[in-house]
Amino acid sequence: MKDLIIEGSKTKPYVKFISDKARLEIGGESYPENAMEFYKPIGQWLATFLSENTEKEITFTFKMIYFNTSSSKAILDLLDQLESHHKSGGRVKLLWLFEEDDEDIEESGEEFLDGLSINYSIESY
Amino acid sequence: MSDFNLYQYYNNSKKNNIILYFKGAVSQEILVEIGLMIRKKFSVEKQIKKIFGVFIELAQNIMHYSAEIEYSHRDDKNVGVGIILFSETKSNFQIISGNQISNENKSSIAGKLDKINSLNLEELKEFYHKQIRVEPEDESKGAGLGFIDMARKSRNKIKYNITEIDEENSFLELTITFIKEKE
Repeated sequence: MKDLIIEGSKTKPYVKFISDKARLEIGGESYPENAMEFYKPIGQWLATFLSENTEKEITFTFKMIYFNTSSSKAILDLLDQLESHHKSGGRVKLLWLFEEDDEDIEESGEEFLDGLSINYSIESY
Repeated sequence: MSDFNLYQYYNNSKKNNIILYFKGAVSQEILVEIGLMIRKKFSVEKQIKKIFGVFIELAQNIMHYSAEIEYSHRDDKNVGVGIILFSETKSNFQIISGNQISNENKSSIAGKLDKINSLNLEELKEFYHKQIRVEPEDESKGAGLGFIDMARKSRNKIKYNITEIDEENSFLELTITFIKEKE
């Protein structure tokens, strides 16, 4: 499967989904004009990738700086996909990174990941 | 603009501790520029990320939902028109936004704000995570979470005022207040 690489901008996060290594990372700023439109192909790529990789351990990293409320909905959709992959037997390692002292991103990580059955960790960088 | 008095306007802004304001079509470019400006201006302030976040929600509300729209040549589409002011005193920061809304939406907006203002921080957190699971309303580009986020980030009630302009539209005013943290 082809990698999904999107360069970040002032309002859009970067996306580095490396297919053969099963390392997926998204990070940066996220307040695009239309979050649903921006995240749609990302969610579609992930759905295909998960359906083709039922054996591999997948590492998914979030390294956000800021995201608005419409992006938070999209982020939750990505988490839902990972959670259901895990529940149907897939192996997922989830990393939520926040810049040191950034309580906002740290707390939103705690809120969004709370209740997931995936193996996750919230760490500063 | 025969009766416009700039000096009076300036004095009035000064008296009300207005440090920055914008009135016009809120395009994505304008939003980004103002956002960068306030990040620089308030860079020493502890709550800067929260202030920035509230600004983005308010500005995107105007951009997507203002009933007054203007064609933007640059974006080749219509963008919402409104006004955003920032004020700062020794004890607080305020962001005030204003835009036109259709009279049809008046009561649903007031209802949402009243509901949010009746909740404490813990309840707001629960409400946020409940609402994020709700499918967005037809014309909503976001998830209808903006108001809840503003109340959570500012840890304060959202002050609002709706003034009827004519049979079709009203003017919606939202004031978000951040109490400065003591050093």
